[in-house]
Amino acid sequence: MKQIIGNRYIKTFKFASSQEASVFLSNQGTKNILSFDETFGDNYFCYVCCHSLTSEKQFVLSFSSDESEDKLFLLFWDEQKILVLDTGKCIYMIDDRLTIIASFDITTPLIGLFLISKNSLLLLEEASLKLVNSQGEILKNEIFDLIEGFNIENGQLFIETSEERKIFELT
Amino acid sequence: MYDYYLKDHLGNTRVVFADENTDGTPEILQADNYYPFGMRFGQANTVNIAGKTTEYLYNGKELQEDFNLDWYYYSARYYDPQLGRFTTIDPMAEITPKVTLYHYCLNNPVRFIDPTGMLTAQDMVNEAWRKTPEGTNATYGNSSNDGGGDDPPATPQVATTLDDILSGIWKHFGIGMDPEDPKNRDKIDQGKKNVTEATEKINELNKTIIVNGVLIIVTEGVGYAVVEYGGAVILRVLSKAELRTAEVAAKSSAQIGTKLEYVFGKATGSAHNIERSTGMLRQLESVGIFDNAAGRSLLNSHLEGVYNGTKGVLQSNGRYLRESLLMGPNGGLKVESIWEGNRLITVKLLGGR
Repeated sequence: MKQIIGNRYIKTFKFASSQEASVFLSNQGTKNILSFDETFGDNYFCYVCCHSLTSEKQFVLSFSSDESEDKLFLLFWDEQKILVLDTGKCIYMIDDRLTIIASFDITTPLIGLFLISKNSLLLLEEASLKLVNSQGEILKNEIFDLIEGFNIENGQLFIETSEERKIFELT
Repeated sequence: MYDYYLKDHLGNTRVVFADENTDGTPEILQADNYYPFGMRFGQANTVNIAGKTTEYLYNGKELQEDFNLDWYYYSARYYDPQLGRFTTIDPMAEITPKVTLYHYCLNNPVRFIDPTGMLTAQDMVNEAWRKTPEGTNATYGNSSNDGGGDDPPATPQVATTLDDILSGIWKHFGIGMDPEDPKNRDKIDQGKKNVTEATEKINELNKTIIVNGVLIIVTEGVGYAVVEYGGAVILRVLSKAELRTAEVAAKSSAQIGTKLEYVFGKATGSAHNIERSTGMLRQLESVGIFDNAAGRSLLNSHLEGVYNGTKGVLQSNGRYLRESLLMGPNGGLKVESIWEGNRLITVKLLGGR
């Protein structure tokens, strides 16, 4: 099932080798390609973004990852016209001209990407968090023990670990 | 005005004195003598001045005279000195399977005490002996050999795992079981499980615990190590220096905590945790590592080895990423473990399924 956001959808292609991925990229017939060469994973992915009405290819992203397809995150931050890409080891913020605004290392497995407001995005990992703005600046950076449960409500993040409960202001 | 207690090596209250009339000369308020299992000698030997008595007598435990029972209260149980037996079964009986459920100090009350009514502790003879010039540098092993003062001095050391203790007992005394013999692994794993359960039970009594492979109980300033001795599990009294060494060792060894539960599919809470946890269990099972004592022991040893053997890669947040290869009977998994100091934060497995 295609997820269409703002008349765009992503088709995912997975390859077993870099050669296959390279051939695929060279056959796309578009110059809007952003390739991440230093992601060093076993699985090679190509995300092809198409227009939902015309099927016109808008851009292609290429990277490799150790993660399986269903564990990778991709977020359209529409209000800021930013694409947030998770490669399993790093999170990239990419603008509509395929320029990398910022990148953040993933230190523990990623729980999710959460838009907190028009201008802030929460990158929540199993044992840390980063709150960033649309310029890629880190507004808050916290570490804690492994999260056992969490909740986001009224601009606050409640987390529970085996040792403590914490509340973080996200606004 | 204070009352002063003179006690013997078992903690028995022998003499209570005070300077009642403030003339600078103490008066004996009470004197007691005991048979080995705790019955007091007759009243004729007890001096009682001004009607003052203390009920904290044998082992320093409180004598309960209600209904003329004359039982001692040992926290977990009552002890009857007339019988030399506890009146109820040992709540930790599973770790001393070779002796009766009602035994008091392995029937050796001159050498051992039982501070909580649950486990036998080595008596204070060794502790007193350590304070002598000959005993100052003795190790646990030497001092627990026969309790006498003839043991040769040796370099103090602290066993860090149950295996070390068992190995030491086996090598030095030829008793117990050889942990390197595969036939003994199940018994040793069961022993570790018992120690864990003992920890929980003592926790219920609100005692302070330091676990570092060896269960160490600290209560009222005295440290005890839970060790196997002569076929039974006993509490061995630690000197303050040994206790400090154990505390330092505990702080510097890998703290895996409850993370094994997470890796073995037992996580609760968020959907992310449950999915990750069950996923890791499937990965482990695919290489032949299952959620049983052997599997947990293997992973625990692996993580301890990773912590002790590799420095890891420093992450931007000050934590360390350590990568390793975990081999099971049916294959291997790449393990990425995240550490903050000596504390394991989380684990990620790659491969398998």
